[in-house]
This record gives sequence, structure tokens and C-alpha cells, in this order.
Amino acid sequence: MIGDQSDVRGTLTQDSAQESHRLVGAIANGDSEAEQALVLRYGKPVRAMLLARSRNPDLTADLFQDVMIEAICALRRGQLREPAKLTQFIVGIARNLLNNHFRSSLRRPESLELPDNLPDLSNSMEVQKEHDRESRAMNAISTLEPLDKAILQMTLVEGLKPGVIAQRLNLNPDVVRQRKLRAIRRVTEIVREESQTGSSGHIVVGRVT
Amino acid sequence: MTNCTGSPAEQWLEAYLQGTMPEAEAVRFEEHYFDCPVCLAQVEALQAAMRALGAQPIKVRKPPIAWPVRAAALSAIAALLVMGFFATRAILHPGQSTVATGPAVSSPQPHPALQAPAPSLTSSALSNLADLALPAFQMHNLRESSGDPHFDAGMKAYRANDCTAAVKTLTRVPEQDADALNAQFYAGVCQMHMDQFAAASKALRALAVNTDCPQQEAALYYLAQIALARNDGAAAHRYLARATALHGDFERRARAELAAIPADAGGK
Repeated sequence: MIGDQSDVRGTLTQDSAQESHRLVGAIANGDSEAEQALVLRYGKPVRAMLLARSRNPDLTADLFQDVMIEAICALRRGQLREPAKLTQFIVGIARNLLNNHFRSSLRRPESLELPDNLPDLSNSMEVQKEHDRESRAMNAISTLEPLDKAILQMTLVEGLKPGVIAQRLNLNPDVVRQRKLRAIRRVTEIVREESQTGSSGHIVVGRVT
Repeated sequence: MTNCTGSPAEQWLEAYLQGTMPEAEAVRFEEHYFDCPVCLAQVEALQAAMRALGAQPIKVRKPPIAWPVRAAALSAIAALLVMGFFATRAILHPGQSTVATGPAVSSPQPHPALQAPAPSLTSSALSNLADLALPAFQMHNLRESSGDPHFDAGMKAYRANDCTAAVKTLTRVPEQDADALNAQFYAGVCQMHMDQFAAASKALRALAVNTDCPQQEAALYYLAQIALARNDGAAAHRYLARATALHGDFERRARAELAAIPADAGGK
């Protein structure tokens, strides 16, 4: 599976850790710009994670706000002792809220302390970006051969394994694996490439190749 | 900053988004892409593709049965009909022999168009078939540059047709780099281009057996070219058959070469 944790984390360098220290300290001292920076830094990955785990865009939109509010409240109270673990802290909050949601049929918004002066958590711009990404993805998919499109759909939407797809399409499983791999790469790279050339102003920590 | 070139996402993205990744691994991947814009962009891109496919599903049609299978089925039906005809005739006319007693007829000649084409090459001229030209560089991702400087430098040399420099640099790309397989492939074809067939075969064979490698088909095709250059028709036939079975970009070229390999040189 994913190799040694240190391998994965090893790619993160000091800039990211320093930024975490700065944000944690500033939010504890009541800096509202730091709260906005936190939302900018973690908004996209939190949405991606919630969507990956829930597969429900509406629930993702609801829980996103809860995650960010809970994170900001906890940081304002100085609950994070090790600023270097800010990312794990945010991931943990998102996972807990999602698990709580699934465990209980009733949402529990009352458990959240809703403070004043929250940063902008509206997601209209992000929703627009998601629509743009989706239409780019559709364009990318339309450039694939029909067989590749079929394999992609059976893989991503129906969740079928290459062996099953191979049976359904009268193909060798190796052919399915190859075509699936190429199709996924092609689509993700086209969507990413266009996102990067068309994006502006998003705060990212790290190098975008 | 991060030096990540997207390898974790390339490796785990599909399992993660399909929910088939073990929880502990999924959490580690999340903790990685929360701080890695390269992997996060891949997650978002595939999520967009999933939404797009979910919103506008593609009608999947089972491809027609391959013609050899259909031909075999038709032959079986024809054989049954012929057997039925003679069986009925034997019952209705028991005294008659079903064996033709008329004047000897020479065995029918197949229509010229159906005759197997004469081999266009003798086995000794197989090497003329070999396509040892360098393939155009196609980055499997659309990034302008790789994360590894050796890969960028190697591909710069490759584009300048400087195979010696390309091999020297590409073989230094670390195995764990996202472009390691690309580097291995292009180093292999450079060695092929320089007639260093043993080294080229070694590099390409490693890719040809890797079913998760995007260069598998290309590796099989160029292994066949090396075999052709060595006048080894049987090996060329084997590699080309495997390349065509993958139905990818090299299928047409591989089929044309398969048809041109004479039977006495290992062609079927």
C-alpha cells in the first residue's frame, strides 16, 4: 500500500510546516486573515475528501462548513498543541464529522459552537469551478475511443474490476487494464492541465509541475 | 514546498475514489494530498470525470464476436447441413453410394483473392522490416516537465536525437519517480536505435511484462523490431502477436508486420 509514511510526508518540506506554525499561532491570537488563509489552504482538499468518502455533493457542501467551523473554533481555543500536525488535525476533524453523520440519522449542528466573525465559507465559486472541471472532464472523455470510454465508465461509475469488464466486452483483462490506465491518465491530465492554465489566485503550498 | 510529481495519486487514486482502499492507507493518502497540490489536482480531476460519466452515461455495447469465432460457428453449421443432406439422401436412396462415381474432377482451386498472399520477404531479409526509428516523444501526462531533472535533460537530448546523452541521463532517473517507466522506455528505444540490441531488449522486456505499465504495448512492438533486426522471425511473431492482442496504438503496424513475416521465418 502507500509506502512508508515518512516517504509520503518526506515530500513536504519546511515551508508547509512553517506555514502551519504561522496559521496556528495567528488564529489563536484572533487573526481573521489567518482564518481566511486556513480556509483557502484546506478548502479544496476538505471538499475532495468529503466527496470521495460520501459521494454526495450536497452532504459535502453541508459538512464542509461544519469542518471549517469546528477547525477554526478549536484553533481559536488553542487546542492544537503541535502546529506541525495541522493537516492531520484537519483530516481528523473532517473524518470525525463524516463518521458522526453516518452513525447518526440526525445531524447534530447544535454540537458546534458557532462563533462570530467567521471567514467566508460560501462555496459558490468552488461550485462553479467544479462545474468547469466537470465539463472539461466530459470534453476529455469525448476524445477517447468508444472502447476506452466504456472501460472508464464501467470502472469509475459501475466499479467493475478489469476481469469482469473483460468478460463483458470480450477482451483480454490485460487489454482492459492497459486501456483503463491510459484513459484515466489522459482524462486526469487534460483536466489538470486546463485547471492549472485557467486557475488564478488559489493559494497552494508547493510546486505545481 | 513539495517535490511530489503525483506518484501517490497515480498509484492510489482509483482505489481511493472507489472506496476499496484500506482505511489506514486512505487516511495516509488524505494526509498527503491535503498538502500536495499535484495529487489533489488528480483527485479533483478524476472526481470530475466520475461526475461527468455519471451525469451523461455512455451506452456500452458489447463488441461483435471476432470474425474467426463467427467463421468457426458458420463452418460448424455448414458442416452439419452437409452431413444432414447426405444422411437424408442415404435414407431415401439406400442403394446409391454417396461417393461420387462420375468422371474424376480436379480439386477445385480457391479463388485467387482468397489465396494466401505469397510471402513478400525471404527470412533472410526480415531485418528490412525492422522499424528502428525513434518514436516521437509522447509524454503520458501533459506536464511540460517532469519532477526529476534527469528525465527532463534526457528527453531534451532525445528530442535532439542525441541518443548517447539521452541514455546516459535517462538511466539515472530514480525508480520511484513518476516518469521512471517513461525513462526506461525511451532509454531502451535509444539503445535499439544505436543497435545496442542486448541492452535495449533488457530494458524493454522489463516493461513488456508489466501489465500496469502504459508502455507495455510499445515495448512489445519495439522488442519485435529488435527481433526482426536480428532476423529472428519467431520471436518477432511472438512479440507482434502480443502487441496486437492489446488493441492499442501499435495494432495496425504490428498486424501489417505480422502479415509480412514469411512462414519459413516463423510467421504463421
